[in-house]
Amino acid sequence: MGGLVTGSGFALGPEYLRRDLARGRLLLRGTAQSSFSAYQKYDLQFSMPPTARSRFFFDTQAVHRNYPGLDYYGPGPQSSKLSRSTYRLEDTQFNATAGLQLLPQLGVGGSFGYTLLNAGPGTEDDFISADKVFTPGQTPGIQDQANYTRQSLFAQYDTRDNPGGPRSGSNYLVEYTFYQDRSLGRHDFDRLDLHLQQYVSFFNQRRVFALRAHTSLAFTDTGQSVPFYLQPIIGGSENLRGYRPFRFYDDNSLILNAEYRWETFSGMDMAIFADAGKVFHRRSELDFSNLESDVGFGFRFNARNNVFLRVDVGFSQEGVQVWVKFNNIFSEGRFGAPATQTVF
Amino acid sequence: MSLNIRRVLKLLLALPLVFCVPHTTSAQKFYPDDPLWTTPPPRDASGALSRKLSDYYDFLSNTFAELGEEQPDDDDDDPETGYIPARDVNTLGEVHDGGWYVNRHYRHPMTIDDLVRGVGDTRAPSLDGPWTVIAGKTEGITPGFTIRDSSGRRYVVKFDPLSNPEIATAAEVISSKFFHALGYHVPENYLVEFNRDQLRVGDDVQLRDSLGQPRPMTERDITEILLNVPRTASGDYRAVASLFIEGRNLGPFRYYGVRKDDPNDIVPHEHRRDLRGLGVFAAWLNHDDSRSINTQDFLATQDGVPYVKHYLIDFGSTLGSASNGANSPRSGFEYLFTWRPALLQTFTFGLVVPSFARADYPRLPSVGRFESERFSAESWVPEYRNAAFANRLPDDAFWAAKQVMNFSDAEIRAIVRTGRYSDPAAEKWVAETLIIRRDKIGRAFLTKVLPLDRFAIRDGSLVFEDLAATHGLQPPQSYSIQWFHFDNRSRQMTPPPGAASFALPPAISRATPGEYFASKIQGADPQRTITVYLRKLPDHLEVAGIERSW
Repeated sequence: MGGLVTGSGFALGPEYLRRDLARGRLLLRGTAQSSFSAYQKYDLQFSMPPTARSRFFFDTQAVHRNYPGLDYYGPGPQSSKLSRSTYRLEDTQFNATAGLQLLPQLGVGGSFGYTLLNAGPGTEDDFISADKVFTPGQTPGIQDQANYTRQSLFAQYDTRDNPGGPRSGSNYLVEYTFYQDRSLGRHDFDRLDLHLQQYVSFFNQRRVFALRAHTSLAFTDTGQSVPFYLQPIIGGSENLRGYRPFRFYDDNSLILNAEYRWETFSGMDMAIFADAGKVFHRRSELDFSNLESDVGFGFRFNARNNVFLRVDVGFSQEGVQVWVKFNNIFSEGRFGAPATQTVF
Repeated sequence: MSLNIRRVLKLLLALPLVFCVPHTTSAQKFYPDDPLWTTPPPRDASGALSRKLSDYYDFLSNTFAELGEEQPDDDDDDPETGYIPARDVNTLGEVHDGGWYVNRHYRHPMTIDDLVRGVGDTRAPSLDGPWTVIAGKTEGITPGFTIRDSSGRRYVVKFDPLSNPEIATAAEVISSKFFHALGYHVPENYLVEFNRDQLRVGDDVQLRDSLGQPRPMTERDITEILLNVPRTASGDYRAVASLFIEGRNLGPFRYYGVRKDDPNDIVPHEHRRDLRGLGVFAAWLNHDDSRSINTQDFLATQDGVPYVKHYLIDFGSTLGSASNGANSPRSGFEYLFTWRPALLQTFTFGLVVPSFARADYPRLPSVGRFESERFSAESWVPEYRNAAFANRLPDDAFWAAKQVMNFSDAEIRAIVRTGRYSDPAAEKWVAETLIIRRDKIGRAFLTKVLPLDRFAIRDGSLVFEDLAATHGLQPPQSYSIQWFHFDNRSRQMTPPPGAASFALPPAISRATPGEYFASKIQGADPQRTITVYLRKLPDHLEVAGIERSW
């Protein structure tokens, strides 16, 4: 139940799960999900999950997604809230990730993937299709689609006390990814993702400051561009919570989040938060100017210290957003995980 | 004539009042065999059924419903409303030996060897042969499994979390020895260390996966479990092996009501002194997990008659342990959920910092969060409401506190040593914390009533022990005494047979066997009294009963 992209509506589907293969070392999982808005996702995963003392892990995944109405407001930070359009994202990915846990806190690895991708007209009745509004010059990839190969290297230093509901420690991740356009030759690019989380607790961990900074930087050669559907996106339940989902697209992004959390009773923390972020076209614009921002409050429900439900209410100059999510904020796991965009 | 009619009317109006007068003469107060120290021979309880209890149901029902018969509110103006005393006690206010409880260290002082031995120390799992894993562990939150050793005995084997080696196993062993000495039925728990080769999976052992589907257990499952538990410096695995309790498992008991299928269970549990007082013991040992899910009834046999024996089990969440890690700082200070603190925190943005959030804890992973500075004996609470704990009265608390105070420093240290902490600082911290918490319990509860106990007749005088003075909680106090002749049938006290001193009045020595006397003892606070009832026997006097008021 659930598990599709934000805005897809209520989704249901069966899951097949085997944890007993190779005496419990391997995991096989298959899911099929469809929402009442006809969003679909089919997923097959075969992996050797990390265990307490195993140093090596790998994960293979094939996934097909068909999202008929993702929001697109236009390129860059100046896009208007009123220019909402939609597009269809349909892709099939094959991904393989392997890694080594060098130290209990330090892991390194690499990932390889192949993506067959189709970005087409959106089917939402209430909003115009993106391809009728935006030109390929504004929005690379809006008219033609390509298939991609992807290779990445990543490292993660994770000292969080409890990843399911951290109250102290840090989580630092770096990943460098190479994308190659196998169809058109126009969308080759590299991407550097830097992700920092820090949890500072006091009063016996009943009060926590949770901080996150994330930047995604694109590197392109002359004549190459990042297709809009592979651009970083901000806005929504995971970063700028006072803005609509998929609000801003561009080649680069910066996100800053700060939360103050306090325990109200054993199963719930409350939080007040502030988010800031921006997308930008040139890497030289990576600074703290012209940030979009919001503030808000939220509730985090936990069972045995693992957050299973959060409700966030964000306020920004563009209005109020209410989010009900079955995950923890800043819940990024190990890098190299297969996905075109983490928000998908 | 008219006068006579008025008289008749007055008599008629007064007639109902006659029936409202308490029937104090309906039964004698003491019987010849009082005080009873054991429960009567049990009635056949073989019809008792096994039952399960949902963890979530227990939490929700106890948190949001008021279960059991509660004590009247303090602000209840009705003078007819009295507090409900404990009903499982003899005329001295002591709990009977039986299926719930056995008087041990306080009544029959145990040696340090006895205390350390606990319920038993001769049936540890044998290392002479392999241990056969016969089931996965399905209860509780710590990893483990069930084994059968080479001698055929079955044990539940439980481990520590990776983050806190020794924390749960030490707590389990230490607390089970305290609870045994305090009088409860507990399983035999053994600290064991073994290597992987000691274990092998038995035939046709089924394991339930995370989705609840059964599948055959494999050697790899054992290895997987062991991958998630810490190893000792020598590379072995440390665990608690809890010997299976004999008899049919009937499931947990509740802290309110009675088992309807147990003919011997006639006192509502919320009115049992052994369960009301358990709250004090739980406070001492920080057993915040003291709830139904950590109890177990078994069908035992006494003289060939099946009866229900009630056990406390699973002490991995005591002291500073939460079994799967260090305890929450909230442990013992607040329920998991109560409206008032939750609303206070909600609307103050956490600016009101609760006391427990300011507590200091040592950096001792094997201890977790266990402290004495902010510990309050009177306000300590388990994870959620416990009907028996909530009904505790000052005399219940006194009964428990005197037993806690009965443990000497040396005895506490000896029991803590059985936890076999590899870090001497951990052992020292736990022992010293228990000593300070013990003293806080004494200060809180012993003086809520007159702290006098162990009444006896010696050398022609009524003697007793002033527990507050014995334990150095306050200097010896002076007490006054008033003697009465007591009619056991009418329950009338007739003053005064003699002088107001603790020496027996001459009237008592002249009394005939079967006569009763009462002595009312009072300290500085006239509200706090003890009435000691004496019974004349052919050759001596004995203490037949005690009543405390506060």
